[in-house]
Amino acid sequence: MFTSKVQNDSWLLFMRITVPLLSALIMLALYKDWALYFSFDGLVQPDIMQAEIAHQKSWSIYALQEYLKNTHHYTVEYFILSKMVLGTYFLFLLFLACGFLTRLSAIVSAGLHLVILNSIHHFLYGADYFNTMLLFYCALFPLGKYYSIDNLLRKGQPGLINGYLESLFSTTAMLRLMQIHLGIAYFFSGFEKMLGFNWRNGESIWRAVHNYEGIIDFTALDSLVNTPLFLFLAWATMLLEMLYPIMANIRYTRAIWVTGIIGMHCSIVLILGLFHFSAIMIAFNLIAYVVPYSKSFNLSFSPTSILNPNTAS
Amino acid sequence: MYEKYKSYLSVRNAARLVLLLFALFHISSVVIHATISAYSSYTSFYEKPKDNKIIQKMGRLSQTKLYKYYGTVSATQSGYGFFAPNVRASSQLVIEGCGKEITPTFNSHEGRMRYEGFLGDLINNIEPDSLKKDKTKIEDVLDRYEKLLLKNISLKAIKDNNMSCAFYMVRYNVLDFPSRAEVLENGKTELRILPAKAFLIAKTN
Repeated sequence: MFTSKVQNDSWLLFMRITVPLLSALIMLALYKDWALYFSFDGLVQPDIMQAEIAHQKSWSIYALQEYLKNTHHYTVEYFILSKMVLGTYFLFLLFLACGFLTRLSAIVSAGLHLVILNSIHHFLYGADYFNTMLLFYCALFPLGKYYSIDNLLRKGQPGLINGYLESLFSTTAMLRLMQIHLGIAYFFSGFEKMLGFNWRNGESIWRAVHNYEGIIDFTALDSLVNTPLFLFLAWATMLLEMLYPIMANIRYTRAIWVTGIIGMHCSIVLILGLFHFSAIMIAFNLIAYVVPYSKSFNLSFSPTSILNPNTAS
Repeated sequence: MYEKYKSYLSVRNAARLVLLLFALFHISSVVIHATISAYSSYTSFYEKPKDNKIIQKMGRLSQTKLYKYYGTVSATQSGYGFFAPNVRASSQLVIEGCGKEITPTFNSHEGRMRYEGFLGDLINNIEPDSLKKDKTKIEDVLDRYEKLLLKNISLKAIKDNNMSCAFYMVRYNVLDFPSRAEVLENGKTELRILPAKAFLIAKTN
């Protein structure tokens, strides 16, 4: 385990582009219903929404509005403020994707993401939590190391923080931290399923097919109610998840296991219609286990490239 | 003796140690929160007492300021038991008034899905009447808060539909499909609507 060599650092570049892109897409998907979630004329009034988390002193758009009003005597309508926060969030996601002020952009994006989530904390789901995780890692890792505007501005010299951090910890060590987190997440996901008798007897797959609205109507599978298909799918899901931390780290089984997990996430889109959750999880898998080991993702970091800090003359 | 270990006591190694400790703290945050979440789901689903001493200690640790805030910022506090230990039934909120039935409307798939997720979470709070008497003050407040949220959503739907009735009946129903065993035995394949909660909204002047 953990013995196979990481082929390249392309995952840093891949992560810097996919995470902000997906983060923006999730918010854009909600844009048509923005007023329903972020206004006093919405589903739940912001002050009522805030009531449950007020004691935690978490930053939300409502808390920001109150802060501006009480401290700076500046009044701005809640809906407009929410759009301003969203606009700023998009701007910093763009900066992050381009590698401009990379670490600062990642920190601000992660912070604004939390502010937006805290404002609708009753309406969150798995995709939001994994999005937070990935933005947190974006703030932690040296994502501006390759092909970034930062490198261009610094003429190929690494920044003060990045340079020092890289001298202490290799990017491979950072990748391992993320891999361990992903492995634990999948293990517990499979383990909790195994605790339920409905998963062990296949009933959960049957329920998922019938109780949720996906892209494809799978009720045609009703004719197979008497076959072990549902039992097989339930056990395949549990084993794929529980054994992920082992199998994804063994060179010989990694490809088949990660493909299986990605296939499972594609099924989640088809059966449950959870597009963004699946997209985030597929991206997480690609960043942690596909791109770092793939020779085809090995981008050319030529010795003369000014964008490559390690080899700049 | 000092000379022997002098090289290890450099600033560089100290920084390395700090980063290593951070990595261990990060992983411990993931494991602690995931364990608590798994235990909580298990005990809730099988209606078992939450009396495991180790988990209680982990729970106290997870509530310390450091773990709590770090867990929020890094999202390590979220559990990973998606659709576990059971795939729950879906649910709906129906508002009846002036002989009409309405439900909240959405303009996007994402908007509707988030709302349905919120409604689905309320299923966990449905409990038998026998347990309702033993409610603590906090549980009672949370119950009333939940009703307030449903009222807010209902009022928005009423406003969007330009309804003006003297009163409205709000019903929270659980939608459940027959199990495989039921389908095999009786051939039933129709979605069941199980009323779970209901309350009135009266118009006041």
